Amino acid sequence: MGFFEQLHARARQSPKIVVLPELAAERVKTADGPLARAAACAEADGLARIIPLTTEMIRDSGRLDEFGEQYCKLRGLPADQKAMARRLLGRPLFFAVAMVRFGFAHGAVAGKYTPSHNVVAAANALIPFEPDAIASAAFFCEPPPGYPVTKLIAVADVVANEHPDPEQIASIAETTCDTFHALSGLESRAALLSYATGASGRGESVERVRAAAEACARRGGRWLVFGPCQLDAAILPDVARNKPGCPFADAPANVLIGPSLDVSNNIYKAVQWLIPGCQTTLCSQGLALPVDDISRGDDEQAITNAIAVNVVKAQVAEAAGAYPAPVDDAFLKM
Amino acid sequence: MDNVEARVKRVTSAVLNVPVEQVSKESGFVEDLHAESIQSIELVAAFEAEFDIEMDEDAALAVKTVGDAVAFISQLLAE
Repeated sequence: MGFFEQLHARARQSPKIVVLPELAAERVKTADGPLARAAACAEADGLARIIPLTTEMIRDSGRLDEFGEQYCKLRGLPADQKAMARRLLGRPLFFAVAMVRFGFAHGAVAGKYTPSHNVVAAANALIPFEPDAIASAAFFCEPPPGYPVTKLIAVADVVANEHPDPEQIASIAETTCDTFHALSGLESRAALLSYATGASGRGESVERVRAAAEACARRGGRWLVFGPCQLDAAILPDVARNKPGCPFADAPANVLIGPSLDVSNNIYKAVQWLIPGCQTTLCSQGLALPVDDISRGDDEQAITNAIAVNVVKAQVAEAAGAYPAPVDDAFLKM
Repeated sequence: MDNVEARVKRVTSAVLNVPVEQVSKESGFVEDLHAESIQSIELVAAFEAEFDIEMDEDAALAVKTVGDAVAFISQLLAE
């Protein structure tokens, strides 16, 4: 069974409540957009119970003042900011994330019609971080059966950190390895990408990646993390064999960590559009509760995959006791 | 216009937690007043609440300075 097939099967075992705050915005443009089709597919396949959040539901819920007050408390804002918070929480994106934070949905998926930095900002403002983690996002790609290079690859950070320092790269690597294992069940093997491999190469970028590898070693994580490493040495054992010290000669890396957002984001776009027939998803990381950012270019299948990822992360969060109380399904009944 | 300017400065001061005297028409929200991403979005919501207006978020977030915000909001109020 392939990665995404397995992921969907896991989601179906215990489907969760997922709020989509952009369905109403899509319906203004078209009645049958990719988000609506993905939501219908996720419900028909039993992956999730979808809340298609609208401004009318926000108004009729009677929760706006309460969420606004809670927002001010979480952000440490003075009482004179309540009117601002009420306006902010009146936006479907912020209200949806608040629903996850305050127990009215297990997860939220957004970003099809909203800039990623807004989704990340809303999540960072309302959802607590996991210990020692920073907000980042991984891209998962499963090429079609028979693809000669890799069966499953994750790339990070593709959304949030423009120019991460060594400690941040190490944190992103560790978090991505944990995510990769949690979603796939496979042993994570991470390459910290650079234009040089091992001890060869000099320059600010390669030294920063070398320092990140040292930071990973200091953290003592459970996963194999090696860098600096060129992309071909990471994924092609024949190349790895000719690079002294490179550990990917027998088994290639399955997690690729870029030295900057420029690199990671464009690797993800290249992989997504240059491997015909691949299945993909984005997966936000570092937050204690699942709020996932999707891409404006995502099609129905990629969004359905993101919903499945969101549900599986909710299952993991629930098992870890991250939800303080059972999630209230009141919004499903509206 | 002056009234709008004073109110924009007061809201900016409150949301970004900087003394109102430090807020000038030339102040850049990010460059000079060091607004974080979430504070930029909060500023848009705060202006909406202060002036009881609806702002296009993408257009509002593209506004860089206090003076440009005054002009942006004044235009919305005039419509």
